[in-house]
Amino acid sequence: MSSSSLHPLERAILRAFLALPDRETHLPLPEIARRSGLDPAQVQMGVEWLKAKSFLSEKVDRLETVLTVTEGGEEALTAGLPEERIMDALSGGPREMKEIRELFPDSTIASKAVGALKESGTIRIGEGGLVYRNGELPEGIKRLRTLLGTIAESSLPVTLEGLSPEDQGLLEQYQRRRGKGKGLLRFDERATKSCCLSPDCSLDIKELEATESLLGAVTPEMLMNKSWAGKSFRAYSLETPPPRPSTGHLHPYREFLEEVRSHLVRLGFAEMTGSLVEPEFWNMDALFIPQTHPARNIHDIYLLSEPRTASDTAEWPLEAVARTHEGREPPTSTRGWRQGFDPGQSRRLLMRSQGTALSARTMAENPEVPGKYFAIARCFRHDQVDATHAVDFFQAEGIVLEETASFRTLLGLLALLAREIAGVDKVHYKPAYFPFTEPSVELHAHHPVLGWMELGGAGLFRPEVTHPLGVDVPVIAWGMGIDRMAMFRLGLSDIRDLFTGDLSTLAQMTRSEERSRAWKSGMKVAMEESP
Amino acid sequence: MPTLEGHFDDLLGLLHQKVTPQEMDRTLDRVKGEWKSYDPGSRRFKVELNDTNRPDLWSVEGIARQLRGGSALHQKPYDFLEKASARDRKGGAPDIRIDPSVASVRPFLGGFCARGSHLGDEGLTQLIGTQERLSELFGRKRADVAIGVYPLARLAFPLTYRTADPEGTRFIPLGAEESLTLRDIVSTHPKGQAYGDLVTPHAFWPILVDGRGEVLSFPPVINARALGEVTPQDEELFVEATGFDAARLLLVLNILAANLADRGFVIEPLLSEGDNFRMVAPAFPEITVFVPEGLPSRVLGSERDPADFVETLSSFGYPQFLRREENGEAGWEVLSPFYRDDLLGAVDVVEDYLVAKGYDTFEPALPKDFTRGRPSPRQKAEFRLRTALLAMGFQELLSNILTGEPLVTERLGRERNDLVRIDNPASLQFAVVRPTLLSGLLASEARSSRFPYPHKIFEIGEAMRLGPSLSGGERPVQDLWLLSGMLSHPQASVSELLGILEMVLERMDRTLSLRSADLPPYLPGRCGVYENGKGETVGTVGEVHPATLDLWGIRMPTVCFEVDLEGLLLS
Repeated sequence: MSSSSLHPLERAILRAFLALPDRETHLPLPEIARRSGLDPAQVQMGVEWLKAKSFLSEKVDRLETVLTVTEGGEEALTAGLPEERIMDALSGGPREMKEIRELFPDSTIASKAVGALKESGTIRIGEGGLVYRNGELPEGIKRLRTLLGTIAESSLPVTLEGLSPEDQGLLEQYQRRRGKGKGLLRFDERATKSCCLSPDCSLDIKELEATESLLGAVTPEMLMNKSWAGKSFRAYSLETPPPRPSTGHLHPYREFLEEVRSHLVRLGFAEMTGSLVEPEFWNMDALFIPQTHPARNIHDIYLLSEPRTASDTAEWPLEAVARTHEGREPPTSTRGWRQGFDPGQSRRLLMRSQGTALSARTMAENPEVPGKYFAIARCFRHDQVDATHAVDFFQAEGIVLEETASFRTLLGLLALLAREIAGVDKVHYKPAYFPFTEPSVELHAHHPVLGWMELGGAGLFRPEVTHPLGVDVPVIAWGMGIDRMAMFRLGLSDIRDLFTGDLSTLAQMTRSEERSRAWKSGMKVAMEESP
Repeated sequence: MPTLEGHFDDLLGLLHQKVTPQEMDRTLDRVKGEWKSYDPGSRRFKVELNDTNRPDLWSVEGIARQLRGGSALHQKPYDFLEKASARDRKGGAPDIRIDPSVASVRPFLGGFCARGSHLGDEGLTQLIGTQERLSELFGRKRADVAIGVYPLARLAFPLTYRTADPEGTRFIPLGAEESLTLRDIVSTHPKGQAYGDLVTPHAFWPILVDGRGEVLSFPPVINARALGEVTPQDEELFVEATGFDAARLLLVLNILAANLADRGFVIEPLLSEGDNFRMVAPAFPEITVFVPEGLPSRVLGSERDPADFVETLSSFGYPQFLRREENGEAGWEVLSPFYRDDLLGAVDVVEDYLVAKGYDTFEPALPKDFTRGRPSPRQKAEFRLRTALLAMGFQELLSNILTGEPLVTERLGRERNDLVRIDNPASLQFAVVRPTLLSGLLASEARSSRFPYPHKIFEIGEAMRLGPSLSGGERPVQDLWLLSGMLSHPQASVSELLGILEMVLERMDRTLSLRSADLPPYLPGRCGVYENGKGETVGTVGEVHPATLDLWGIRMPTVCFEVDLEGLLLS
């Protein structure tokens, strides 16, 4: 506890205390401000620092309860207290309980006020449940109304303790009856504090003044005229909590998506992009999904109301796709789906339901062979939104066109993606079914914490997909549910939080992201270090 | 995805091999199934089947059959297939007469008898479950295929499938106490309410009656209680399926016949016949696919022994491989098992070969060819914009693209006639595609009043609107690529935001001219539009009107901007 590191604010405050005849004198904060010549915010700050350094100690002089009128109270001031309103209503003759309840948005307000009035004998309930006026408005209610008005209009804070004991009792009783959140007044506790020199503080005015001549901040003038030469600089206290700048950050989910993107680019994939709206042709038909497939009914996809259908059909290989669905050669040797193909359905517009639509378009547009393409595409599924279903979400998708692409190449690629993107080495290839690939496989990965989890689906595109689009080399197709990976990474259990606008949730996600990164590298280090 | 529940001992009884519940998930790889849950107390399990094209696997019997290698239980062949050809050759009077009146309503019905065993409680539970899955999923909620099962003992053959007058025909349906007309069933019976729509467009509705004229059922809705209630003790059953596609009916009947045969029943095929329809069911549909000899090696990416291909698939249920040549390449004409109709081409057979070998037995290889990786040009631009905004302390947001209409209209004080609307929204909260990102920013601010100020947030993302009318009068959808930003703190001002925008434009090396213009949600006199060199509006900026802030519940001065990035970067 050296006085050489004191800040000028701290010095000003300490000087005020050391000037007192008695080292044990307590000064309230406003008094410190007056004596030190600082403003209240500076005093607040300086006192906190000095407390932290054990120069000052603080005591609570008294607790006060500050009263403020709530929204409900404001309303009562304009529309009247429930008791007043009931009495008013009854002045025209008896009413039914039902009518009284209808005066208020919440029937419990009515029953509580009626109960209180009945208790005070101001009203009575007669035959058939009719409510009669039986006297004048109780004095307590009138007084309450007056108090509310005084508190609302007072320019200085009104404290509970400053009121007469009768008024205090009235307010407390009324507040209790109303229950939490529905009250007329808010009760906020406020402490009045004062400080004195701490018994641990041995500083005296001489010592304080002796360190006064130390230099503070380095200034341009000081550097220019070298006035610092031969003098000492005041030590700064590095423990003082520093002011924090407001900062910006990439969205943590975006950061994850960018990481996925950069992995894929590094692995030789070129990015595909496209419209959020696709006709069923590219989203489904070109992928050989039968027109009667359950994933195509209106409970699974979002259709548009205007325009309902696509108009650029002239550029589509519609005929070749239709023939393939129906099982007619050429261009594909297949039994097809053995059902009629409706070009009208192909034209229906929907919100893209899978990123594979982009792969279909790419294959139809003279892709490079050999070529690798990927997309991180926003997709839409018709689900009730809950903790595991989002209205829109991202999917990572990719294709590999290569003369010698094979099922083994597909397995190798999946293992590579699992390692690069998800950071897992242990995988299992589970046979799967997708209408557009054969053979098809699901990639399951072993996560050290979560156990086996599905990372994505993949396969070799069926000839029924590639031939009508004009591709005659084998094509590997893969897709990954990156939302789930991201949720784990960002410490989320609710998928809706991926798209939250709540800035504190975002800040939390950013921190979880860092922690999971640290954890991951920590794991790696631990594994590498183990013998 | 079909899911089914079963008893582990029932499965083991059908499997005839030892397997533990712990091994089941991997074992189910061969049927593309997932072991969802197992309760050691009750020994009941749940399985999810992922192959939506193989309804034969949607039953405990079917799973067990594939795991056994496709053979009949106890190594007996499915001998009813020969009986079917015999019944077919014999001809003569049909067992089930198809009346011409059903042609336009629900034209086909096929069926068979099963005798000499009994289902027991678990067997009946499984049969009902399978019937449900086949008619709901494969039969598309009974529209394409509906199935009926009856105790055989009370039936008098031949049966007749015909239509009847909805008002004049009555019987006691399952689950009811009194006799109802067909019309009553459709309006009051739960099954009638669920499936009645399949027949109500027609004047006359289908019924199945026996030789004495008694009603068996009202396909595809409900069975009669007197003739159509099956118990676990019944030793003789009649099974039928109705629908529109003979091949689908036969497949369903083949699957059910194979399942009952595996439970010890002797299957007796029946002949259904009408003017334009003749079917013996179950029967071998004789579906074949040509597989070129080199294809398995090409698909897998390494040399395979042709003999191994034939041998492996023979123990996966494939009954026959005939050598032949097609387009100059030697190969096999492969016959599909009678309970499957999912082989569309050669690759499907090859996949079964790979599944039978086990995917984990193959050595993964990496793609060999070098290719050039690259992000989309748009991503590169977004990266520069993001870093510029981050450097000025902005936090990035990501919001949903579907939103509620009031949020992008009333809440911004804007009227729009260019919204892209969803025809079948799941909820009004997500009924339009966002045309702007401003609502997302304001919603974020409204939720974040407790987060330390100042708030600086931005979003870059996709949005949509309707474009100007085409020659045909139709308005096409237009994809938008937008950047929006918001500042919110006690001293937030337009000039602070304009300074930031100038820095962003400088970073992108673009110049735009700013012109005062009043537009919501901004305060008149404190907002403007950005125009590019061609005089097109590419952005808006301004201080948000207190009335708008009030609608969002925001109690902090707030300024916003939005820029159309396509318009900006092309300028």
